[in-house]
Amino acid sequence: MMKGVSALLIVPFFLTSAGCVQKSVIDQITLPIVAGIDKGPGSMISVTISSPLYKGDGESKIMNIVSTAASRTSQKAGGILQEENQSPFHYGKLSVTLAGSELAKGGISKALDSTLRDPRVSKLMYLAVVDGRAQQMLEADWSKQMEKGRYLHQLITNNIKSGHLPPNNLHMFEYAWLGQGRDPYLPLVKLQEKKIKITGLALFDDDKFVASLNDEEMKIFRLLVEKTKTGTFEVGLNTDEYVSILNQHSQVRYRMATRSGIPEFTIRVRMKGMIREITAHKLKVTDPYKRRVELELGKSIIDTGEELIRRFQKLGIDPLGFGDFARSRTRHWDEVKWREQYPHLKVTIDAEVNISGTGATK
Amino acid sequence: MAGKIGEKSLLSPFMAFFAAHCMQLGIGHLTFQSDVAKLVGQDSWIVVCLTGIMFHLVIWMMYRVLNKAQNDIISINQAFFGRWAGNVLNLFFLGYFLLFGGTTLRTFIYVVQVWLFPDVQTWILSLILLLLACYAVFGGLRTVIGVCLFSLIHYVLLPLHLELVPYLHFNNLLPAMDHSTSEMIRATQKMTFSFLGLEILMIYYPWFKQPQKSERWVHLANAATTLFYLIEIAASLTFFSKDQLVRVQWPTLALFQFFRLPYIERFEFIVVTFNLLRAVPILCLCLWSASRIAKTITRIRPSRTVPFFAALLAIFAILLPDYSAINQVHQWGNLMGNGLVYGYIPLMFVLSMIAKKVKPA
Repeated sequence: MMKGVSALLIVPFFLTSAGCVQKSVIDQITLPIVAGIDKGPGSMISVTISSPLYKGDGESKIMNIVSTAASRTSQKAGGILQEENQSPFHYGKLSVTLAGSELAKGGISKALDSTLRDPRVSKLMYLAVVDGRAQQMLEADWSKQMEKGRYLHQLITNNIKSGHLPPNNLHMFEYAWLGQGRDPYLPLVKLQEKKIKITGLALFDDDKFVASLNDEEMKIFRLLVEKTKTGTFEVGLNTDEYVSILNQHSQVRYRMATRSGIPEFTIRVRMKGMIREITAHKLKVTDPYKRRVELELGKSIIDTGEELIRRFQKLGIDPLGFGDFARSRTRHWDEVKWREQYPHLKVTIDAEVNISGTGATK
Repeated sequence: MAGKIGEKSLLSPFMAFFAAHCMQLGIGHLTFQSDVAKLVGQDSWIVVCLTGIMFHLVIWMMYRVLNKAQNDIISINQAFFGRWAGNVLNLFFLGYFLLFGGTTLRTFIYVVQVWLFPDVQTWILSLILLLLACYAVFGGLRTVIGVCLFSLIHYVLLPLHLELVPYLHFNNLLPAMDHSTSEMIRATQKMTFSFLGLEILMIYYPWFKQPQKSERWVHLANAATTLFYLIEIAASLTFFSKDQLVRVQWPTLALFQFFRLPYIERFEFIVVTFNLLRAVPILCLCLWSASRIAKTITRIRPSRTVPFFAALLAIFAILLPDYSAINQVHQWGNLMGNGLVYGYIPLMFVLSMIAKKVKPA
């Protein structure tokens, strides 16, 4: 009996202890989905938060309220923004962070520190570099139907899933940024007449934005990064005869051989594709024709790929992770020595395309 | 003394598995990846295996001592070193288990404070956890072992690591054996911290029916821990780049950040909460052992000492303000544990080999 009574006494204790932390009711907090960081005046960072406002009626149900503040730390800027927002910010839902190109050129890691430090910010968050200022992009009116953050999130997700954008998120950026013998890359987005477009890839040296790839180069780049199952490639056979090939499956494999002290790399790319479109008059696809298309596409992969790698070597950046690969194949790998060797590496690409089908037409 | 324990309160030998396994997978489990990777990088998994094997050896030695004396370490100490010196050693054990419980309590609360509720006070969570632990301890040893079942929760969560497969870089495990022996030994010392806890069986020994049969279950527990750590270290090494892993505070929890359900955006919050539940059995085992030692030395009833020790743990937890202090205490714990496992137990083993027959205390 006594035991039962004393057990009951604990109940009010547990009930009251639930009040020991601050409550956050979903209606009374602001959940920003997209944020932007830019270079502010001097050494300051300018933070832009686009908070969604749900109105629940009429044509435009969702509105974004964009506010910007500049400070030395992004946390303080967030605090300044809080002073003009009626409900507290919670960053758990933050899905996209845009970095202005000016900030990215000066180094992005300082501005990202608070996001990496805060466990409430998801590591699956997307990062992207804006061609221009992030604030300008968030203030522009390009999303009528959807909340801006969700729009951007879907845009990037879909381009990774079924487009040409190599997979990317905060974790992968951090992985490449901190990893030895590897440099990060991020999608490059641009505001074009009230539309957002992924124009290519921003390449980083350590955490500084140094070069970019256009979308054609990005396609080939992705083939060199990972196994893919998406993407369409175009081959020009004559001036007015173009063939479009759907990538069904591509594989990539790195090999390293060391002769005369400097490592030599071979990248083997194998792609299985399907002809989707031919801009020629009444053409029947024969085996020699198929072979020609296969060779042409293979050649363009090799040419563009090798040209890209030469450019990386000239810039001293390593987005493909040759250094990391060499580290895993070399005992007592030395990063300093590797940096000296890197521009002189010999890299060859061996690409083969196999066309398996021609669609519903012969 | 074994005669004093009633038949009804004796434990089946297989329960040794839960006690040992639960004590091992404590705070070390949350952080060991970055601690070890800092020293030996991609060779960390070898260190995990090495430490696991070392502990099998330690268990073997421990049971040789215990089997010969057919009694717990408290009485063995008294028999070997005399009443006075033996009791000093027993006090050391008492302090060790309290430290073990205290750091576990504080670390798990700290994780909650960083991850979930930055504004929660340490004393509130300590009070809740310690009340729960005291309640279980008062229920007797069988209840304590029952609570240990909570520690198996992480096996349920383990398949979630499959979600990480697209992010894994298996190249990170190469080149193998790229570190010097001295580095490996230092890493093994660090790793020992995550395997500590088995020593508690030296207190529980006489409480098992046919105690010598519990040995194989303790070996099994250690093997399970080794395997579990191997999976965790392999996942962490291939998922993070080395310098990234070294920066991560709790890699075990960080791995769950990548699991996402349509209705639960942030799954790691659930994992953190589960983790807090795992602190309870460790607290129970530590409190029980501490009170057992106190009883043998001073004959004070456990119903008095358990609340006292619980209060001590709470004060200890509240007094540790920040992470650097917690880390400092981890280092003491590691030092004590290393001494216990690699110094004291082998010493006792040798002594018990030399001694013809242990006199009853």
